[in-house]
Amino acid sequence: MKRKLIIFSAIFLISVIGFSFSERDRKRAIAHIVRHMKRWNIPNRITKAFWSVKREYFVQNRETGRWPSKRAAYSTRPLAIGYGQTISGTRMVAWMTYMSNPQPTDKILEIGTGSGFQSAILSYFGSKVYSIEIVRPLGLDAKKVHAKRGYSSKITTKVADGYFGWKKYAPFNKILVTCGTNHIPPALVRQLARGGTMIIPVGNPYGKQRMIVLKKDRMGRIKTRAYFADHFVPMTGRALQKFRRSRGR
Amino acid sequence: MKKYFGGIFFIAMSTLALEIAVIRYFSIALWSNYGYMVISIALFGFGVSGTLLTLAKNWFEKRINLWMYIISLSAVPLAVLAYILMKKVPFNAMQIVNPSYTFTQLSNLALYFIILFFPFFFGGIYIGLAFIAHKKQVSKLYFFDLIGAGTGTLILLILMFIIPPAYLILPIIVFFFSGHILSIDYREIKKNIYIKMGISALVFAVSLVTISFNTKIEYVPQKSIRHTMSSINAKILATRYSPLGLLQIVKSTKERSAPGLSGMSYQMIGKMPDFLGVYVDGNQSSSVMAKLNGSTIDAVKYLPQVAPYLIKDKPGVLILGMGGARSLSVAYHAVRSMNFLDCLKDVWIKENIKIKLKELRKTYKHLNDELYEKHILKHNKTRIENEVNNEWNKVIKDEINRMEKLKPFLNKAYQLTVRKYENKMPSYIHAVELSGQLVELLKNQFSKFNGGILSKGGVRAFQADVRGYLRKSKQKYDIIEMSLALGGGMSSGGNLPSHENYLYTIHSIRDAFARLKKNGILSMTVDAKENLRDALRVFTTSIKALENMKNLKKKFFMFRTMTTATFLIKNGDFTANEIKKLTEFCKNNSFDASYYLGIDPNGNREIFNQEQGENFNVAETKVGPPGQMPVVTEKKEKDKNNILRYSLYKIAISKFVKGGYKEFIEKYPFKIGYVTDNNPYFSYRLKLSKTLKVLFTGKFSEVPYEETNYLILWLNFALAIFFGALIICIPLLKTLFNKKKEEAVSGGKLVLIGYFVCLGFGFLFVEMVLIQKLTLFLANPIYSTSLVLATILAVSGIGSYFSGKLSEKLGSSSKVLLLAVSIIAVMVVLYIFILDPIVRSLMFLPMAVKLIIAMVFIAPIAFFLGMPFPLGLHEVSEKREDFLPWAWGINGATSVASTPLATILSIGMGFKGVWVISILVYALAFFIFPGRLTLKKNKFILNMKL
Repeated sequence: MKRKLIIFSAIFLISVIGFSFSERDRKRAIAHIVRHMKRWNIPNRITKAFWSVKREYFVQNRETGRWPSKRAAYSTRPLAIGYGQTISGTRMVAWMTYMSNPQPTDKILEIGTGSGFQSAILSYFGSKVYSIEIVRPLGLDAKKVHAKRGYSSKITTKVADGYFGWKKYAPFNKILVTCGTNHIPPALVRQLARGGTMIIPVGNPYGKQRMIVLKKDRMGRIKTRAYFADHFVPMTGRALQKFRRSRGR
Repeated sequence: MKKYFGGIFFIAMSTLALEIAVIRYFSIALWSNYGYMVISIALFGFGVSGTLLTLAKNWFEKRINLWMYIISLSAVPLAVLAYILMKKVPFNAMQIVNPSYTFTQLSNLALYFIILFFPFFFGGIYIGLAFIAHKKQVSKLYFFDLIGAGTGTLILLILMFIIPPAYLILPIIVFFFSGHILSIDYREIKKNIYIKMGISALVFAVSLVTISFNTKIEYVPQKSIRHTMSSINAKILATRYSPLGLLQIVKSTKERSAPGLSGMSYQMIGKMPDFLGVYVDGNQSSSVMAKLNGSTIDAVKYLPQVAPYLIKDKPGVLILGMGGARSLSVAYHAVRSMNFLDCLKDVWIKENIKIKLKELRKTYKHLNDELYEKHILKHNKTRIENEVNNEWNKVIKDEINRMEKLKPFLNKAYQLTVRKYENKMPSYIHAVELSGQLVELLKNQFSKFNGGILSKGGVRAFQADVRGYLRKSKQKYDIIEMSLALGGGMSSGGNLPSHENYLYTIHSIRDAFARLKKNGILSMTVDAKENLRDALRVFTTSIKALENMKNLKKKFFMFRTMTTATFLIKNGDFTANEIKKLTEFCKNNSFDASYYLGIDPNGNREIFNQEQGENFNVAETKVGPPGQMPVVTEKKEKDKNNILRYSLYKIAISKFVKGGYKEFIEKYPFKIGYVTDNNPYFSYRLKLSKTLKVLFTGKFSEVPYEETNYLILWLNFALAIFFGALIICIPLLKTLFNKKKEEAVSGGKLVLIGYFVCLGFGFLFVEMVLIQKLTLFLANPIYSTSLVLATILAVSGIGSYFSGKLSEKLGSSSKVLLLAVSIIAVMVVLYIFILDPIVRSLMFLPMAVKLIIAMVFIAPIAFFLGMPFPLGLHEVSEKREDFLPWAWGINGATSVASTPLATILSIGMGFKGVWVISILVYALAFFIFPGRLTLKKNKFILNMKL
């Protein structure tokens, strides 16, 4: 009996040590992410935000209520947050933040609050962020998370169809869209201030999407530039399981 | 002994019906290009059954009635199980190029083979056993087998109109069970007939109940319908089914479909109209635009499709591939939309002046009219007019809040536009749509939604296939619109439908061009969101189609938007005035005019939509791994590897203008050459060398997602070879267990193998190319597949029956083979030269007539195609009986492998090339016919004399 107890305790201790995620581990994980970002020329100004905003607060699957491990939260991949939505991978968040070049004086509109992580990152730069989410439970949950973690002074959210933007607070200096459409919604461009920038993935929502950076110049003319096209594979339940297994869960 | 005529009829019928039903299911849940895989699997099942029966004939023969009972009964739950399990396979074609999933997905692809193998295998065993049981009545049994197969195909085609595709399996289960009931020998098993009947009833009941709860179609994650239906409040408003496909009209927030919409559309007055999605087999094919009114009409002018209407007054318009009538709505409202703002301005100014004057009159109400007009109105009118004009300018500039001020005037402005531009509207608009059900839905159920667009004066919708209509019609048009006719399907070849595409071929463009009036315009807007190669391929095809015309460079105008490319090709030369109008249109909408006569492709001009750019050196070796991060700063011209990226359009246009376009096409790492009716594989752009390199090195991630279709075809081929090899391995079992290893005679093995390999390839090459070729004629792959399968099965069976009789008459099977091979060769040569013109000239006929004509085309060659195999078998049984199982095995294996190989070869060398190969293969078969083997000192030697 005593022997069994020792074995169980040993197993328990090993697993606790093995699966625990200390502050040091978090720093290590972020350092890894930052190294990745450096490879894509993401400057320090942007990567600093990732040290400050704790990603593990945002990764809960709102549908099932489950939290993935902290380790998984700091992977570079997207994670399912329920209702068919995902929290974007860190490189996508970093890239979009970099392209939007947030400034303290900026008013930024985000379409697709999702987990609320992107808006939290944007608010780190002192910008005023307005975020719209179409999925009610996600929108409400993101609002709660922002309030709990002290971001709500900089972030205003609402549950609505982002296609029509948020006229009340328009014009915006930057607009970030995190869901794909086959054209750029005219209402969003209308609400973009002159000299402003919009980052939007354009393409088949179920396939590959091309990141477009749209600029509205002082004369109100529109210029776009196409960037990389990437797979936005929906994280299926099976893929997620596989991913979790690979992370030791 | 029990005669299995009824049983064989129903089992053959159910097996064929199952094959077609699974092809349909694959088209809906996966993509139609996977249909060929099902043919491969069915052949694999039949192949294994044939080989097994040849090996274990005696074993089965002992208790044949019991076996017939067991096998026919097992087919019922096996079909159910296969159907349910195949839906559970988590195949995700997109992940093939992801190294961490490649093996998993390849295994999933193999799972389809394994799961679907069993029903076809049991069907094959049943038919084979019936032949063994009644050797003397083989011809009669064969007749019932063929009639059953033909009936199965026909019945399923009819059922596709009546039963939703998800439920097509139910009648098939009933057919299988009917086959089983007719297979029970009621005389011989009287003792336990009730037990057996009870078991049968139970198995049937359980199977039927199980399948009834598992009919749901499980779409793969990339299917657009699955994605759309996941959105909030998404609703299917109408569903129609037919062999042409599962048609669904969907309402969802994701149906905001305006490909190519200008970035400047933010200046539009009002909002975007609502859209409904039109889905065919789960793929978004087009959309229905809501009725346009004052608050939505302005949106139309920001679409690239309105360009031809800028330079044509009162045009006669033809819309090819109407779909949900979006292009039709654009054509109808283009003129109104382009002039709406002017009308709104007129109305607004007029109304506001009226209001101001009223107020003025109120202020001076103490004056009489004469005094008022003389002293007040005279002095104030111009001031008020100026004021109102200034106010208009202010209102129009306030983009965010102007709608509140403009809203009350929108409808009046719209009515004014309708009245004012009545005489500039298109004189007639004809639209062609293959699906009669869609036309009916748009005319009736959705007529309120789309504002009755199909019932407007001058508008006519024809239910016909595009190519057939172009051939049949005598009408000439000012504008022919072929825009986005294939929806996303064309541009995203990757895993979307990528079977033959006969719309964007040089022959199709020539046919369309022939219907243009002098100075008419052919307009093609192509999706170019994800890759630019589609647009270039359309460009190359258009250039090739019209290469014999004079002043070709004066006939093109090309511009591109952020997500599309539009080609305007004029049946005449573009005038300077037209070019000016079009370039202004492009500038106002932030579109880039990429080509017109006089453009300097390398000149400095403002670029509105900058491409990501491609690096040709990198592309040669590495075709852009998915997810690779490119340059992230806008100022840099070079990417992270310090390599300059080039604008693909800029280079292509520059080569077109200055020469060297042909070389550019050849050097480009993907196939962007022209597409013909002989090689209508628009979406297959991966080059063979690259594919082979990827296959051998296993670096799947080097293939861009949109080019994976060709890779999957090869993987399919590799799997087919693997499973084919398994069939060949079965005879090895016999060799292993065969104790008598001495052979009386030897030699000739290579000849025998060669002969049956040739037949396996030759037969399937002819059959597969006929299926692909007749897709153009019958306008749908499911019609051509069903018809060719049924006809070839039936008629080649008759041919094989007559082969024996003919050889008796002619005295030698060699002579019969010579006759058969010669006729096959002559017929194939005839097909090569006359099938295309005949198909094109008869495309206008009604479907029923076309089906009969197609059958007449196929029947003669099918008759002779059925001969070489039984002739070979006959010779083998006489000379080397030990080789008989091998003959079956080799034929089965090559048949399985030749199904995907035929498609691969068609893509590589066109249909004609594959036909030439089939002639060569049959000729070779003739020279190595087993009948030529002569025995010399216990060894067979091939006699090559003619």
